[in-house]
Amino acid sequence: MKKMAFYLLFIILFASLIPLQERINRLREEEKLIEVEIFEATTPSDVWGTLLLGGFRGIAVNILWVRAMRLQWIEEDFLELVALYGIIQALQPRFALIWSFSSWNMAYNIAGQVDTEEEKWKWIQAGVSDLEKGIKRNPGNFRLLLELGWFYFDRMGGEAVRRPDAPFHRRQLQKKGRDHLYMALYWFERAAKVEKDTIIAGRAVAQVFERLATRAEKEGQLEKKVFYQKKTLERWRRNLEIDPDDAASQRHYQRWREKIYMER
Amino acid sequence: MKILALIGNTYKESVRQPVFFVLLIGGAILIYTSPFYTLFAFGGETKMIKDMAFATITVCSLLLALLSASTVVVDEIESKRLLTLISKPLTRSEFIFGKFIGIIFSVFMAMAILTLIFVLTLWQIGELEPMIFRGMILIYTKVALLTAISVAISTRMPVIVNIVICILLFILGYLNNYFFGFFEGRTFFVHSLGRVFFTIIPNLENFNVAAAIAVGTPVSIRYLLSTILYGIVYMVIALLIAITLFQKREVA
Repeated sequence: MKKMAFYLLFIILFASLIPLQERINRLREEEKLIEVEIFEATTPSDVWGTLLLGGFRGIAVNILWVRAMRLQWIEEDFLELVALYGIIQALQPRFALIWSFSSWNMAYNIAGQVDTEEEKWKWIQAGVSDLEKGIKRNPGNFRLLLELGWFYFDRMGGEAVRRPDAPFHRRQLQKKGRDHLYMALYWFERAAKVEKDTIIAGRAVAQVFERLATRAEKEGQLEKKVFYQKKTLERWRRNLEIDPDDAASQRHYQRWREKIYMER
Repeated sequence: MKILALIGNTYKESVRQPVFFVLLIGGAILIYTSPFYTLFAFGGETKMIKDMAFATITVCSLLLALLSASTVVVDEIESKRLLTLISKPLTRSEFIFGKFIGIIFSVFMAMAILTLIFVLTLWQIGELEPMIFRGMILIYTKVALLTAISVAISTRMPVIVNIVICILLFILGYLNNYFFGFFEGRTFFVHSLGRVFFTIIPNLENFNVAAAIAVGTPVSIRYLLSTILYGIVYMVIALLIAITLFQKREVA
């Protein structure tokens, strides 16, 4: 009888853990104690990199960063930097700058050094994935969102004079059913939602709309051209509402207003 | 009254261990000097100091708790004191409970000292905030939970096996959410099996609010109480297991 009561108590206690855990998960999401999906809440590197090292983490991070700065600015050994940045990411996963440095290193530094277009594309994709991982670990980080948009806008969308390999990258992206300008727009708009009071992302969004309008014009798609021209003007106007003294916004707004007026 | 004597004795034995002072002094030095390791925090210095302090206090308290709890039964058997203790009117349940309370009381003292050093460090850099105490309460609950598990294991297993199992549970406890995600969206049977398995392993991520506190996100009383309740339920389960295993243990 006593044993039965004991086992029953056991089962009741274990069973009570399930609704309790669900409540805790719900509270963690509501109170933003954890911002990423439950699946990504903790990775193995979080355990060994942050928890088990304890107070030694700071010492390790300092040593690694000193080495990283040396590799970046003096030795320019960008390949070794990839491995080093990977370790720093494990130690400082919620430090957004490391994801920015690491992805830039892959998509710009290493991609700039390799010879063939296929290799360049491989490193650009690696940089994009790295940045996407960084955004998952640091959702809502303005800098990372803006940078990913910039990768699509500049690295893949740059003019042929500055980026002779850009048309190849755009074709590769199209094979995946994606357009570099729409991707750039998506990430810039996400960044703009995070920082509503600055116009950095707003300017980027407006510039994407400008490119979309220009592209539609070149392709002879009149409706799209008008649509994007309107969007361009709206966005520059919104930028001026945020910062009326911004010279770039004033210039672009004026130019596009005149262009649309002349075309009508 | 007898149990109070056992608690007091366990506490004294625990704090007199050399490892207690080594961990305390080492942890205090790491926490107090942590502002010097934030050269490459790039604007996130306070966050890094808080992160490191929480991690250091967790690791030091945990090591102290495990080193005491893993030997709680084995030492008493080897020194033949256990037979004397339980031949007097002190039940086996009281023995387990008294040892557990004595160990977590010594852990409390260690954590209190390390928290004081942490508070002093933050005060010196002008970043002291009351939310860190809620983080400390959760760390203490987590360490107490693992202590209860270690006490349960110590009734049957030797010291090394005990420590290895506890460290494994510590790591699995943090990766609970990560592995549990593998079972999401699978068949009902696999999903349920995963759920059962990961209910048995305590989810230590619940107690981890260091990252949130480091960026200034408040921890509500609701969350605090829910998580403490979670910890207490697990402790009760672990102690019940300890008592059950100990009832049949040969002590002579």
